[in-house]
Amino acid sequence: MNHDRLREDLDLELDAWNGLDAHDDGETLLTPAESSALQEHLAGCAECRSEGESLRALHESLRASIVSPREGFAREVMRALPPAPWEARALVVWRWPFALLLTLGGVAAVLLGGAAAELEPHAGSLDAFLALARLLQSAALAGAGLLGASWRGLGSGLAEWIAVSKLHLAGAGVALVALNVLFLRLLRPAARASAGAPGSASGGRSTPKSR
Amino acid sequence: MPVETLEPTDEELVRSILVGDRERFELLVERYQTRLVNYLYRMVRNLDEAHDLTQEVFIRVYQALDRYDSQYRFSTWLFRVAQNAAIDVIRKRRIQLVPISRRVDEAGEATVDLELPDGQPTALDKLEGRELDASIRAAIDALPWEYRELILLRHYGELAYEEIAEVKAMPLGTVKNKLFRARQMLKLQLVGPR
Repeated sequence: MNHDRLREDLDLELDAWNGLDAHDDGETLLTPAESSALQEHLAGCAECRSEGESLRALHESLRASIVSPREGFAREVMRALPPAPWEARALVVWRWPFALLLTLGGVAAVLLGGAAAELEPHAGSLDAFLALARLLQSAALAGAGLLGASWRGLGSGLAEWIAVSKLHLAGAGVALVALNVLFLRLLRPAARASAGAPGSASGGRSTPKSR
Repeated sequence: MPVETLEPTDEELVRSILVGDRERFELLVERYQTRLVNYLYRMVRNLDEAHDLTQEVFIRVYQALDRYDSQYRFSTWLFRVAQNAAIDVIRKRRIQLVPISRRVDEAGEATVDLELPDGQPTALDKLEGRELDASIRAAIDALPWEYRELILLRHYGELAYEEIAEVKAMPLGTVKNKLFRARQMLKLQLVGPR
């Protein structure tokens, strides 16, 4: 084995000795055979032993220069952490609203079922269910009808009012512009907030390669 | 019989954070804070700035956590973000920066040299008893950029060789070889020839 190759092995051996691989999934820098060959060589080579001492001193110097983060830094980071966009989609966020909805639905079903049983004591469960479905359908149709009628009424009322004179028409135009300005003002703080959020984690650069 | 307490892996922590356990992110911060602060401190050369940048890196990573792909190591993703953030800071600073130049290394690969201000220990360093730190800084700063980056990732970011290979998109053999050469240069500067 030549000295250059052994020096590289020695460097790797000392790097592993330095304990930096604590975070690693058992990465070994030299094979057991390479390691024992190195030890054997070191026992008889003063030059390589001296090289080893220099490298060891270097590793110790590097290790000694490591600083500790300031006290409570992790808490500081947590306090500074703004809500992430993905948090709204996290399951846990919807856990309580969903549970509340289920509970309310259950209570409503029990109350409606009780009321139906009192009205029709001899009716079967299927009849009660069908009656409930019909009731919901009627309520939905009535709601939709009311909504449609009110919009139609509002529309025809506005059309009549605008048709009265050009002044009314201009007034309607001004009201429309004012409404748009109002909407824009309401939207602007949200736009500003999203512009201030940190950019993508990769900083626009490529993502890591596969393991 | 001793009871083994298995620490959750980074990937397990990320999964639990993504389902809404925000507080688990603190474990990741605690796990990586020393390594990131040290790595960034050596990159930007100011401890307060390194803390600020570390915080920014954690925030960026948290914001994009749903885009993390668990087939990659979390550590390599984190250090890539940190490396990009540090390079952005260095570029923005533009103190005595020599233009970024391209050159070709011995293996024929095009590499980028980012020249930084010289890292000579200042009088303040000596006054505060930081001679060792200052001399290490000077020795590291004297390394070519590509070697310097590897030394910082290995000795301050405490990344495994394979992780460095992923962060730098380099073959493992190249990482080992360059780290060997970088340590030889450092040894000459700090310990001297024996």
